[in-house]
Amino acid sequence: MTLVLWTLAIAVLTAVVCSLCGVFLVVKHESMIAEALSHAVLPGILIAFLVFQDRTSPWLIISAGLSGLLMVWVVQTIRKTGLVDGDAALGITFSALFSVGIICANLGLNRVHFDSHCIIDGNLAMAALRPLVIGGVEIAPFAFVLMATVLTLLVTFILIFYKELKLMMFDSALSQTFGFKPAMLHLIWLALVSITTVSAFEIAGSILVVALMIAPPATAFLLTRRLGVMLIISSTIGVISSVIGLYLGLGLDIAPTGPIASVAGMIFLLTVLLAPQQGVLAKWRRRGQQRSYLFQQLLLARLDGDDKNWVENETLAGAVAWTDQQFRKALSVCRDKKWIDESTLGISITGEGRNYLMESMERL
Amino acid sequence: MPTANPAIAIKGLTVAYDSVPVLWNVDLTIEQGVMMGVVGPNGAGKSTLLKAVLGVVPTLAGEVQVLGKRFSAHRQQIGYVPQRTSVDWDFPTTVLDLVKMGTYGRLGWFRRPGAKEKHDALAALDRFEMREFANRQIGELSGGQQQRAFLARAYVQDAPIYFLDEPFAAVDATTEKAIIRLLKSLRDEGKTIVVVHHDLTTIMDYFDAITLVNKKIISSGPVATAFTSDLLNKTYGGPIKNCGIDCGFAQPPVQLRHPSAGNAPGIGATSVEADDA
Amino acid sequence: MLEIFNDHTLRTVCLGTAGIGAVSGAIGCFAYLRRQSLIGDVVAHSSLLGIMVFFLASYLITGEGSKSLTVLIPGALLAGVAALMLTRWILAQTRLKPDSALGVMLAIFFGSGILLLRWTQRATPNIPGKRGLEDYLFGMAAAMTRSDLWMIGVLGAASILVMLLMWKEFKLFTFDPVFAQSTGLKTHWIDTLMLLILVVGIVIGIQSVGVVLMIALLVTPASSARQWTGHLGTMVLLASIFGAICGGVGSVLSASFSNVPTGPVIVLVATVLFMVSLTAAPRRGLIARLIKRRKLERSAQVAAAGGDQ
Repeated sequence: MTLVLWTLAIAVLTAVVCSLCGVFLVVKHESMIAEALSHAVLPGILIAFLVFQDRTSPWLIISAGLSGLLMVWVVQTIRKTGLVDGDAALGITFSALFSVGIICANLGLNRVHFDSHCIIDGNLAMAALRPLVIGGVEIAPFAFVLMATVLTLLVTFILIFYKELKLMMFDSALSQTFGFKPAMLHLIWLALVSITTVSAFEIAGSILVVALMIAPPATAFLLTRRLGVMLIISSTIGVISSVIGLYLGLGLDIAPTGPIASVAGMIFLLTVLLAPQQGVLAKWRRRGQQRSYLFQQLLLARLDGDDKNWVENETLAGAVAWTDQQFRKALSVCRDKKWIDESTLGISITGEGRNYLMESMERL
Repeated sequence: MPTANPAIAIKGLTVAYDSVPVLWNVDLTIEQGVMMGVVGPNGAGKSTLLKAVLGVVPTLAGEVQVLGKRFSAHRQQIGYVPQRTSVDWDFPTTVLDLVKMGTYGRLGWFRRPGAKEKHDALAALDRFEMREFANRQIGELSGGQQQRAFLARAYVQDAPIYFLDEPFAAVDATTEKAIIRLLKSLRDEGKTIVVVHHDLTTIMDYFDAITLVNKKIISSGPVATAFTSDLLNKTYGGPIKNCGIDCGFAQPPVQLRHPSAGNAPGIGATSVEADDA
Repeated sequence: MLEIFNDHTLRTVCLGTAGIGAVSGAIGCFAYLRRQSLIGDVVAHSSLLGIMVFFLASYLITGEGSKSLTVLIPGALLAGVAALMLTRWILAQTRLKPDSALGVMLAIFFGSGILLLRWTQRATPNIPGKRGLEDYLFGMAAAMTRSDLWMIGVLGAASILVMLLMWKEFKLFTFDPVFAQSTGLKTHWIDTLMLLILVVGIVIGIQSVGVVLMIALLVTPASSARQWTGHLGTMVLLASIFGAICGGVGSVLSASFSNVPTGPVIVLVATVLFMVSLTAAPRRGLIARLIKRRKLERSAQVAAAGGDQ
């Protein structure tokens, strides 16, 4: 396999892992955890690297995980005091941890491996170069094996606990009555998120981890309400973003992480516009329709309530916060459907109009 | 009898969010000097009704008149006591400061509250027996004290009308009685009090008039006539028991005090049990 | 230590970061009280795109990329405002919740910003002026010039002035927006004005701590100040002072180590101050609480013992 293909494979695996994981974050409205964790793991990684001087050491991941857990614990503790706003506590904590990391990186590791480029941009372009060597045999790039393992873990977890996860996501109160322990599950899932963030962080850097954990799932969220479909759509978008972004990066001769993040974001924006049900265009059409019905009913209601039979056009027009155009449109629809009568005195409601009004009021 | 202007006159009010009507064609008149309860199920539009009169939500149709004139916020005519859950109790402000906020409306843009405002605020606190808490942080108050602080804020506005949104949620019975006493004394001074209320068992005792809302006005008027089991059926969409009335006629109710004092507002189900027959 | 005040550059830097810290601290109070720390985080990250676009524009126009703040700050402001408006639009049009919408903004704006940054750094032919753009990530206050300070000073002073003029409106709107609106206040304008000031404060702040850590400079002094007082005015004043201390001390410390960016050091100083405030503040602080609880326990024991007799 050529280097480019390996890099592609790693990028795709990373994207799928992050997009899958992120679905649960987005559904639970906890996307910011991704941002926080991706910053908080830095000191853990750096300290482990300082100690073991080996980039492929599993200690890096473990240490990073501990760093992440430290952040979670500190934030919980601060929140429990009730003295500080929750989001602020999160921001303060992960920034502090990240700062420790940056300082370490600049002081102790001046030489090659860690600098802001790696931290922000990750190391995707170089990831395929480092092989995993077992017993003197080069098997595959280390990053590939790592991400493949994480992916397997994640998918297994999701498949086994699919029902429970679904319940927990959408109704944790209900899942408690069924005897599942949402707290326990939540903890395991949080651990998985940490493992994902930590493994992906080294390859993808902080920005891409966050981008892939939020943008593709958010896009999927707009397209469906079903968890399974969301997972599939999210990972697909992750794959597409990583492929396009990678080639964009190669073409511009820069780290591919920035491009991949941007592409994922652009796909999201396009979906916001064009999504069939939730998209802006679709909604405008629907809202326009609903608004028309509402105005027709309002028009009839105004006629019905008055003692006089006939209401002058101006009075009617001025009674509701609609534009001239909306008023005339409502008028013409009511006219066509024979819900109103018109004369020189003004407008009045007909029997059919009254029936329609009564029906729509029932439906309210 | 000379007809004074009604405190609030609403005609044809329709409010819609996203083209979905939340309040439909509401006609409502609230006379001056009356203590009115507003009840209805969750999502019925009760809070929206108050907010629409205050001009805080955009309306699709209808007019609102306050004391005979079109409502204008600048006239400071309605004092608003918000739901407890919508207040940031950790906000750095003392009780005195909170009440002084009620004077901001009359101060205009660049004037600061001065000695007069402080004096008025202290007088308002006296009225509600909160003077000793003037320098306390609002987060350190009990539920009843919090309500009284907000009432003082409305009082300092010198408003003839008070709107209260679920004031008795998560407040114990003694405190509730104390607040009702305060509200009734305000009403005896000629103020008009409108309360969004969730506990059907206490309606007869507290209010002169009642409005039943479920997106539309189901009924509105004196408690004796507007609060019947039929109308409650229509409002809540099902038979209600244990609400303190019997067969739709005003009798001295059995005061069923539900242990719902600790519940969040709007969980009407704890004070209303739908018949499962 | 006294060499600090002899070294002209260091003096400029120290003054600059202290001033920046003071402004961020003050503005951060309202961001903190309005629970907008995450919004601040996203606005900060988003400004990178604006900075890069305007930098490249200046390169295209003059043949040399300008890092002067008169060029870059407008870019940062525009990008920050754009991110906010886009977020609002997304929230209004879809059923997405704020945290997801903000996260996507990060992806789009910061992602594109990094894309442009890296491309600029590696572009051939060489783009003059590009060195130092990297500092916008974690801050490197040593690069601040006299004219930069002027611009920061003017913007900062203007924001503070507006805040003071509109003090009671800001306070009322932050605490009870519905009540504020019911008294006739044009809350929509107040909200917009406050967001604008927030963006200005952030754009100023990133000059010292960079975009990634701006959230800390925004809310840490405010959170610390909150522990010491229950009065909004005092809180804002204290937060300013704390911010200034963090900025000044942080920049001096980071200058002692030539290759350490300013941002992380300032943030750590602020965090230490925060932890001290959390534990040691009177009444609210954890130590004070502990003492109060012990006293309560003791008097309860005494009462129980008395009752037994």
